[in-house]
Amino acid sequence: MPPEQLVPFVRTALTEGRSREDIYRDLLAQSHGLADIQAAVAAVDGESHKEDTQKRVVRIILVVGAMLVAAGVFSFIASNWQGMPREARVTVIVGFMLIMNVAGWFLREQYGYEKTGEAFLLLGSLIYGGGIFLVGQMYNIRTNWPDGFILWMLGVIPMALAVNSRYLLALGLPIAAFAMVGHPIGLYGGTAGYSGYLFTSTLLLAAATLSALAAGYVIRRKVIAENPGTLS
Amino acid sequence: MTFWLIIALLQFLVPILLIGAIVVFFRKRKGGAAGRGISVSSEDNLSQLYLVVATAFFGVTLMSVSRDFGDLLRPDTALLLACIAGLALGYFVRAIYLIPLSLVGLVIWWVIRAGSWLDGTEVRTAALLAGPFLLFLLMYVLGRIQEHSASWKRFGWSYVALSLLSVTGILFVISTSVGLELFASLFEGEPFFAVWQVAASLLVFVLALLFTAVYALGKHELSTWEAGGIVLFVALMLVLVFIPPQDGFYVPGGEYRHYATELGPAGYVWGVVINLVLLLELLGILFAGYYRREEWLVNFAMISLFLFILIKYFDWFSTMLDRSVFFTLAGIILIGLGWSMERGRRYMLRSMAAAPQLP
Repeated sequence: MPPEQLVPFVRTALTEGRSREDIYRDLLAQSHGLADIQAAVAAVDGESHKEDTQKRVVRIILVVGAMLVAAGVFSFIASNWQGMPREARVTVIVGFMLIMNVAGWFLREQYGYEKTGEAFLLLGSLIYGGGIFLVGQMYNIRTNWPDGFILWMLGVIPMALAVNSRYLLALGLPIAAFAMVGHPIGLYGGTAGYSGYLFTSTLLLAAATLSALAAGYVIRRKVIAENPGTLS
Repeated sequence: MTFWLIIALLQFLVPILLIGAIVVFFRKRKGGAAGRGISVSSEDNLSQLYLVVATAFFGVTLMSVSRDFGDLLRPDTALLLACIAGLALGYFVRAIYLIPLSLVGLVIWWVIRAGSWLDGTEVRTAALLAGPFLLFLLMYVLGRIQEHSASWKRFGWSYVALSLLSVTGILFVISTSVGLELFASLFEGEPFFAVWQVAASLLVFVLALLFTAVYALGKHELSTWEAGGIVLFVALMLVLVFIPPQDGFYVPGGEYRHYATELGPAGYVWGVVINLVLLLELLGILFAGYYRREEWLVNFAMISLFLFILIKYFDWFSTMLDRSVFFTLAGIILIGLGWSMERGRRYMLRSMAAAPQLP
């Protein structure tokens, strides 16, 4: 059999989760030449590489789209800020956040649009984060500025674990970085408007420690269970 | 002065970590040159990063609690506690990212403490260079010992990689003309025995290094050549901390010179010695890679040699040659270097593949 005819067999076998060693063994047992088998496997590898690239492009486009929409939502709120009563502002923020999260969940779980759904969930979390700062400013809540990032992270982590989203877990890391860098600078560098004696900040930092530890540990247990013996 | 020395030393560590991250990234993309990728999947990567974040938050929480209760802890003590927690957590949940970060944190902690011990004294600051250097050498030996155990192979690798990156990075920095200025200032002042904490720390580091090196040599985890290299480095560090102040490191520059001062006889000797040590270290890594059949060591040595030649060219000749000649020559050197590196690497990898497996 020429390699073109071996390609569907190799593709199906790999999709079924069979190892390459098994595939080679089977085909060699059926008296196919090693060069033909290698050519067929290489052809399937090329296909999957192309597919990976296409998936990555779609993912990048969706993530950039989500960020642009988030920027648009905040620009809209900011430009109409003065003309809106407080209740309306909070309703707009919470409403947008809920709509995006619900839409994301439905798209992903009900309609099978995995990447588009993830992009909506990401958008929901971005609006949630922006909302924290807008509400903080609106009600003049007395906090240190990195606390907003901790609150954002504290919301993103459970959401990410609940919907099992790598995008959201990845979003939590740069958010955490702002708080991790901002607090020591405030404590020892004397940033304007930063109070080193605000106990809320300490409590939030402790919550952030526990939350990040729990997230890391939960995912780690899953990884260890899925890859026994590979983490030595 | 001490403060600026600490800042300068800490500045070494940032590029070291960056280069380390790049090496680690490429190594991961390849699935691990020695078949020991540092993360097995993107979930693994995320879980390890979250554990790093948790450890960092723990340190910041300690700082914040301390501030709330009237500065109970110094910031460096919070750093120490966070690093110890990071190491414990890293081993407990087998998260390799935590190990080099915690180890670097421990080194930074020691540098800050030593800086505060030396602050306000006339004691020479060579210990601030010797201490981290000895600690990184100790990590190399500990890494080689851990690599022997199948369960801790990746952890051992992280010690070795961090050690090589750091030692090479420090040597790179002090071998340049800017680094030599910093290096010259290390000799000024009284012997460090006046500050017992520093003397005791260095003694502990040297003894720990010698004991672990002898142990590793006895267990055949370390080759005689590697042990020789470590002894050479320890000797160099001891010379640094014991040698009397060097007169004539810098002399006034000539009338038409760019700078008010230039390297004197002692400066030239030390410049040559440091550059020679760096070159020998890189060649040592190259042959260690060949001997141990570790492809990443060969690649690391090749990239470092490339950087070595590039940096030396810019460092030594940039003020001497006309710009066009400078760039043309630089281009030719780079092309020649790239070609010879590719050729040499291919030859070494072919020989490694053909050579019989060591017992």
